[in-house]
Amino acid sequence: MDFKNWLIDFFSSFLIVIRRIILLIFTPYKTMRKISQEKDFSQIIILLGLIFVYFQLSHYYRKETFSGLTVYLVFLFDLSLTAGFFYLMTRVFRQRINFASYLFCFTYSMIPTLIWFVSSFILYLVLPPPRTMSILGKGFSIFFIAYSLSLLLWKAILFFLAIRFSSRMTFFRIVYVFFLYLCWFVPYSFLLYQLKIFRIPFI
Amino acid sequence: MTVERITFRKKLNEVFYLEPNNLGMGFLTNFYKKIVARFKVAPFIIIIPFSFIFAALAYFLLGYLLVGLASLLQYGF
Repeated sequence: MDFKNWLIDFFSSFLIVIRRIILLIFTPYKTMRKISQEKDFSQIIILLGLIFVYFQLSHYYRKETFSGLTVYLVFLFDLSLTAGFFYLMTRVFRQRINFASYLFCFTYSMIPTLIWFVSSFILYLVLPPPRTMSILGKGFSIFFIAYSLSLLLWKAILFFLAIRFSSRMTFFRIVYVFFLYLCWFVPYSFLLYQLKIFRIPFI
Repeated sequence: MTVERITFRKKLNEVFYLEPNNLGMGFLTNFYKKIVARFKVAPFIIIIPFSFIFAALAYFLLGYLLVGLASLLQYGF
């Protein structure tokens, strides 16, 4: 009976995650506000589980020295570091804040990243690089850059909303804290690149 | 408490959940609000055409460098 209840809870959380992913496309502001008030931690587990599956699958084709699990653990460390950094920065301005809100918002803001990495992985298998200077090669390159830029802009919107709703900081404070974030995140990403863990930071 | 009251209270909580953004100057705040309003609902209506125009312009400006960038990004998964 317990397992049955757990299974029902899990599937209902899974459906909520799918619904939220779709709603983040159409109404990112409203949806992120709801996410910031969320308390169902199984949604985080589902999203992190999907990311884990991606790392395991991509590991077989990346031919890297690090296992999928190691890269996944580094990603979890990155995510906690990012959420922790913004949490601590907010503590400077406000005292009553909820760390769970940061976890939910930042985990949901990983969706564009996950979609980009999964689609790049699929495209790598279907149309392996390098691209040529033929008409089809140029056309695909323009399409791929436009597609990547779209997801990057969506990611930027979700990341901004994640900080805005979890920290409730104003625009200038968000910009200021974001620059502080970049001060350590850019060298850190370069270090991960040098260690051949991530070519493009998974954040 | 009636359903209408609960809905109204819920709506009020949503409205006052965040402190409104003030960028210091009136015209800047208005400009910010106009821009942000477009991204609150269906941002892809703006994002997709912008990305395609940007990518096409980048191709005309950079040429083969853009093709190289696409190859580089494809290795990045």
